[in-house]
Amino acid sequence: MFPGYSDAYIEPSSAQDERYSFITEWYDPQAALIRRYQFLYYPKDSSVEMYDIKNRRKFLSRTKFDHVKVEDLYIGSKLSIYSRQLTFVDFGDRFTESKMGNKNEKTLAIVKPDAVSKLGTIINCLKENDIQVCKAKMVQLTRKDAAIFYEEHQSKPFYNPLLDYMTSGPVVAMEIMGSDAVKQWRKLLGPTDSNAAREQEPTSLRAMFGTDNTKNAAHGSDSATSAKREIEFFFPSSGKSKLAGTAKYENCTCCVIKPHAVKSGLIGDILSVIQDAGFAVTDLSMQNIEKANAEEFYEVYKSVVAEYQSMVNELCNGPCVALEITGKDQDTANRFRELCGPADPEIARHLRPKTIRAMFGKDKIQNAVHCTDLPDDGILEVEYFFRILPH
Amino acid sequence: MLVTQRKRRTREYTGPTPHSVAIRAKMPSAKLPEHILLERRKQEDLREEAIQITKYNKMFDLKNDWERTTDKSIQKNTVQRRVRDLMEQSKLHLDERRQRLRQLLQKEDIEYLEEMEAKHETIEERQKKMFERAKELKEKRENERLKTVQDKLDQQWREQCEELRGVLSRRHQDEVCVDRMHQLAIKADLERRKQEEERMYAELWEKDRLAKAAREELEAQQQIERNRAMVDTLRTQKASLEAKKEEEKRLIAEEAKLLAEERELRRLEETRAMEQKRLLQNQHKKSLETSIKMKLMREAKENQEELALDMKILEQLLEESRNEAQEMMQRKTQRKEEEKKYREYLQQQMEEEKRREKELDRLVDADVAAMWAKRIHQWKLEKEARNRLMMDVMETRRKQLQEKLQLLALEREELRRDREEMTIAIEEHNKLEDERIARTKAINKNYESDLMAQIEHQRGIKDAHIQEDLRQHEEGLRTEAEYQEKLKAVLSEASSHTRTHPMRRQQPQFEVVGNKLK
Repeated sequence: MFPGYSDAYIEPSSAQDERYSFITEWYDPQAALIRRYQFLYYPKDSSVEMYDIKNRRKFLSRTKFDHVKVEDLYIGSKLSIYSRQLTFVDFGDRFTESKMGNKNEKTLAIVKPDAVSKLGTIINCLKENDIQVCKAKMVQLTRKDAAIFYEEHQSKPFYNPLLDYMTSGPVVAMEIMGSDAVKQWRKLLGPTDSNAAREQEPTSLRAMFGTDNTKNAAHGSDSATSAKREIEFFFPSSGKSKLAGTAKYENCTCCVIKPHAVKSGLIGDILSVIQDAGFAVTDLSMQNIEKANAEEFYEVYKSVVAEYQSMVNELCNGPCVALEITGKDQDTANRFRELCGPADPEIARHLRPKTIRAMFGKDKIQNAVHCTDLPDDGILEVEYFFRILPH
Repeated sequence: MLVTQRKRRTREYTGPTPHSVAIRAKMPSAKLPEHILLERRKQEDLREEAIQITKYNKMFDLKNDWERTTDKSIQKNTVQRRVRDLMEQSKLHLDERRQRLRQLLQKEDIEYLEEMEAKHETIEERQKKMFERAKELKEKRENERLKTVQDKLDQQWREQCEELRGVLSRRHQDEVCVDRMHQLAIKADLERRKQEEERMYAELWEKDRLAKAAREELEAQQQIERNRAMVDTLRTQKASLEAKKEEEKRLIAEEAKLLAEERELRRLEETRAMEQKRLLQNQHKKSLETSIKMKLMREAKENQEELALDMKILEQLLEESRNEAQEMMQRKTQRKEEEKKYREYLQQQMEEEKRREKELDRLVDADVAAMWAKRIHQWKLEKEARNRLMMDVMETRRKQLQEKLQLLALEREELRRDREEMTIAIEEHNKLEDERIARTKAINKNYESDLMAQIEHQRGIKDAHIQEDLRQHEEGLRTEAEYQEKLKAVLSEASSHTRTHPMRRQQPQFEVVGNKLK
């Protein structure tokens, strides 16, 4: 199938159609070049058109892609079109900027050490308020990192306890996006002091999960500019983060929430199920997997399962969330596998209706999560995601 | 230049005398005789040495190259081998992993399949399950039955125990009394409330009525006021209409007056023109007469003068003739001649005079005519100016009249329109009044019919109530009769206590003790 081919009848593009325009980049592995395209999206029939800016000619004529949604289009998002992973770098015109710009405000959310075990509930809460998680990462802050991050509170009396608290365990940093996200997220958090929150807004997150003024479950940026700075701290635009990961590489197994589940906002539910089942999530990172990497990761399945190619395609179809699941003993991998259930959600629904795949899976490819099948491979897969891929 | 003066460059030196010459001795060469040879040998030696060095270098370069490439290839091969080994190993490892995975998955698949199959139950199991279910149901039913039996027995005992019944009935009576009292209190309260409500409604109604009466009075007042106002307006309209009529009449009279004036003016003008003409004629006549008189006078005067002159001359002549007789003849002839001449001259003179006179006459005539013409012209101009002025005046007057007439017509038109409007307004008002009256009548009629309908409805409801009461009473009678009949039948029949439970019929466990109802 060549690019631009489609069975469905596509209306010829016309100036009347509403369309969003973006500038996208694609790393061409053959030429080792970054190519820039103008990416046009027609929400009317969710079709995509691409225009090569450098060569001044059409690259992809209008083609229908049902899996491309308006919500996926924002600066910094990644989208794969015919196995080419496109990175959105800029708006293509004023219209798109005005239409999308304010809708896609970004802010930083940090889930503090004592609330990491409630991560699933918190992410669900975000989803209920139409806030999207764009990036996520679990990090272990050192005292130095925390000091840089909380620079402005240096003179406050709670500075030292705050640093102690923030470095006491792993935290989950998330870049979240939505209309008026800064305000919305702060509203969800409620008052800074958890005790006050319990009195004033008992439904807010800090009221539910916080303990006091310092141990207040989560952090949110207070303005758009500080959000920018804080996002830059956790997710540098250069791509190289200096923050330490939290993976333990022992008694662990790897779980990957697949792109389709991420897209339909099931992260929170899946995390809740995992955490409720008594497993600890000791590392987490939201990543876009390229095809080569996906192939490498699924190496073991090649020629073992028939759906290998589809699995690879599914894994690089958008952002996925990799988790390191840690248990108390060697048997963690097997126990977690039982929690995930049979690979085919149909069978799972019949035999193990309480498993993750039975609850959230669609079919054998889009079965919500990937989990390490061989107990010995747990460390390998975790290492692949948390040690090899970042470098 | 002289030969001697030339400086020689040779070794020859000339002496002071001719042919004395000295040759400077030549110094032996510093170089060895075989120096060329030696030189050559040295060069050859050097060359040999250089060739040797080059050769040596070349050889060592070759060696080095060889060693380096060999080292490199060895290293490369080693690396490649090791990489291959590692790859092989990893591949083996991978294969092994794949194998294990495959086994695991297959095992799991089989397990799942078995499990799926295991889920389908066999017939035996089903039968067993059904048996169990049946047993369970049976037990449940038995338990229920026992429970009802217990309940019934309890009930029976309660009914048959005199003491308990007495106490219970007393208690019940107490309760009933308390409830009744409560009920009475509630009823009284209700009654009170109802009365209060009624009173309130009555008050409200009274207030409403008063308000309505007041409003009606007010409305009547307003109506009277309106009518009065209407009458006033009508009166004023009538007055204005009359005034308009008066004005019209006045205008017509004025117009007539104006027309008469105009006529008078025209007549005056005509008479004036006539008089003027007559005056002009008179003047003309007078002037002509004077001119004729003057002419006659002048003629007479001239004649007199001539005569006087003649007389004078004649006297002179007579005197002379008297004085001289002789001469007389001469002189007579002379005189005759002279006289003749003179006569001729006179004749001539007269002719001249006549001609001059004629000329003068003509001139005078012309002069007079010119003067007259001028004067007539002036008169004419004046008259024309007067006429024009007159015409202007007349014209303006006429225009004014016309405007006035137009204004009059307009006013008349306006009056007419006003009148029409007025009549329309009056008609409208009459119509509205009629409509209002009709509407009021209709509303009254409606209200009447509503009231009638309400009365009818109330009556119907009352009838229905009566009917209902009757029916209920009848039904009560019927039910009473039925109840009595049933009671009688039941009393005549055997009591229900005689009927026993089928289970108890087999194994009589309980002995019922007590009196049967009679």
